[in-house]
Amino acid sequence: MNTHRIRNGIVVALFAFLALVPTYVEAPYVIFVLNVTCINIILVLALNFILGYAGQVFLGTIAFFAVASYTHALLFAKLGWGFWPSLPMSIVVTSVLSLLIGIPTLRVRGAYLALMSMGFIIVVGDVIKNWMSFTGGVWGVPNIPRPDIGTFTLTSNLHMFYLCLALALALAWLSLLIEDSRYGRAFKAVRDDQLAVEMVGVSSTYVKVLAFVLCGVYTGVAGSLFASFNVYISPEIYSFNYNSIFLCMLVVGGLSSVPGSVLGAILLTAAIEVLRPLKEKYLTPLALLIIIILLFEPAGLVIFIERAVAALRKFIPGKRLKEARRG
Amino acid sequence: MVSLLEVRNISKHFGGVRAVDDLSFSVEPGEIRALIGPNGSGKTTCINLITRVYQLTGGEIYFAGTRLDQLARHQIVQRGLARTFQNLRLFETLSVFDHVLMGSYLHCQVDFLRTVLRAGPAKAEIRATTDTAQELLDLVGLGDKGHLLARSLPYGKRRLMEIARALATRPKLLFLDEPAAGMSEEEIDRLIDLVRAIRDRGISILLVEHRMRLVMNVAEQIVVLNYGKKIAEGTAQEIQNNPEVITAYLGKLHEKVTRDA
Repeated sequence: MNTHRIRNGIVVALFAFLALVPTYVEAPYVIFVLNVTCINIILVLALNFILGYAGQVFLGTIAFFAVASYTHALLFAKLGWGFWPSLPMSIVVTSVLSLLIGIPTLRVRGAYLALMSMGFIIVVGDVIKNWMSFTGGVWGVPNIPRPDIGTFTLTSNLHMFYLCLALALALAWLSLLIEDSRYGRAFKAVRDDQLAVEMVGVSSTYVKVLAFVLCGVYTGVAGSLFASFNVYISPEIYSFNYNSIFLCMLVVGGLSSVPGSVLGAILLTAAIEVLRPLKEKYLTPLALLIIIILLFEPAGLVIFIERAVAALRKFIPGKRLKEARRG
Repeated sequence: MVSLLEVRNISKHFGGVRAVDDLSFSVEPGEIRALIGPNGSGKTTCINLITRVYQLTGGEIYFAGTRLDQLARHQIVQRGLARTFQNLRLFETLSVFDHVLMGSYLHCQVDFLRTVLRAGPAKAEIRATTDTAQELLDLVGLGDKGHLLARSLPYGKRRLMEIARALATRPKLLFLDEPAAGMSEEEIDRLIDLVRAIRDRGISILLVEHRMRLVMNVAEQIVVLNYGKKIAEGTAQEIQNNPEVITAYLGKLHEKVTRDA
């Protein structure tokens, strides 16, 4: 119970921190990065279902992200559907796609699954690049409108940020609820021992496909938000590099931890901005960071915050008394 | 009377090794039957065949009248056949309580959204599974250990936790694969009571075991295997006096002499 409260508290604190940044820093560049941070949080939470909780080495989330962005962009920019009808539609398309990809691929494990997911990224990338009439090819889709709430259009990045933040918070909270439900337990059980899961009468493929579809739903939201936020999308955005970044965020923050996912997304989005002078070599320090973390604290950086909070709580006498009474 | 489990002429060959060879036996409703035999006689292989961990080379298996050897593993458990493992199969990151809750997953009916949001009937379902899990942990004597990580339990207690997890699937037939391995004499005393208590809940038991004190105390019928074949079947008394069984376990005098020479 106690550890749950610490975990939820860290999530709330991290989001509160993000929400307060614009009150102290007004630079347009920072507001832009804050939007990217929120979208990255959703993407890392998505990856956390399949790679964190369910422990399956599927690395192709960028392809889902691309499909979601394009679905949204085409419905919104070309067919004029509007933001709120396009959002659920891109969620549906992405989750159906994840279901179709998940059922065959999740029968294999480990390195084979990793390889298949890489192939999936290439296939999706090639389709987008070459289906000129539909996706606009390498030129991408321009002029994607910003979302509107009633008659108010979120043209400013600051307003867009509050929408992204609200959705990221809602999805993080949903992640926590799922983690605490029987589904979260089943995901972790599949990661630990698939045969034992089957021997309590649960299909391990079903559990993995469920984690996969949840990953699709989350990337669907992220894809829609990104397309509208960026106004323009093109194939080179959905690169292997960007894909490796989500992976870094999840591992650095903490695998199968919601506060870890949020923390990783915040820290690394900021770190990438700081590392911009390195140009294309910016991944090198991140790779080093991953190696160091895996060697010394595989649970990710979030574990340090959790320990610090747990240690601090001991100094609050009222709480300690209450717990002692509770036994 | 229809047998609860009926194994007909099953075989399993690993290359040229006949681990299980043309074996037939049955388990009746409400009985405790034991499967014994020297090391490598095919007892665990037999359980792995029935629960579909291995594929049969030949033969048929029937459970409560329906054919079992065509189903997926999880479907077998859904029909009412649960097991524990000789070498334990734990969920490393789950607590003892979560292990037992995982056992009741297959009986949860409420849909995804309501379960996650704990809305409507989900609350009652969560309370029911939690109560069952606590009751089963009390039954196996781990009532106060629920919050611990399973891997922090000593070996013998992990076995008891596996039994609770298997019981949570509400089986008609329970396979216990060497439940007494790594247990002290006092723990075996309690295990004897536990096995009987499980049977008294109307659950049949197939027990694979080396510790004869447990087998001879609880089993009503004993099947003896050697080199994958059934060499004897009967009550504890009959088995203890069967010359073939004694030979299988102790060897013949002249064999021993020639081996020593």
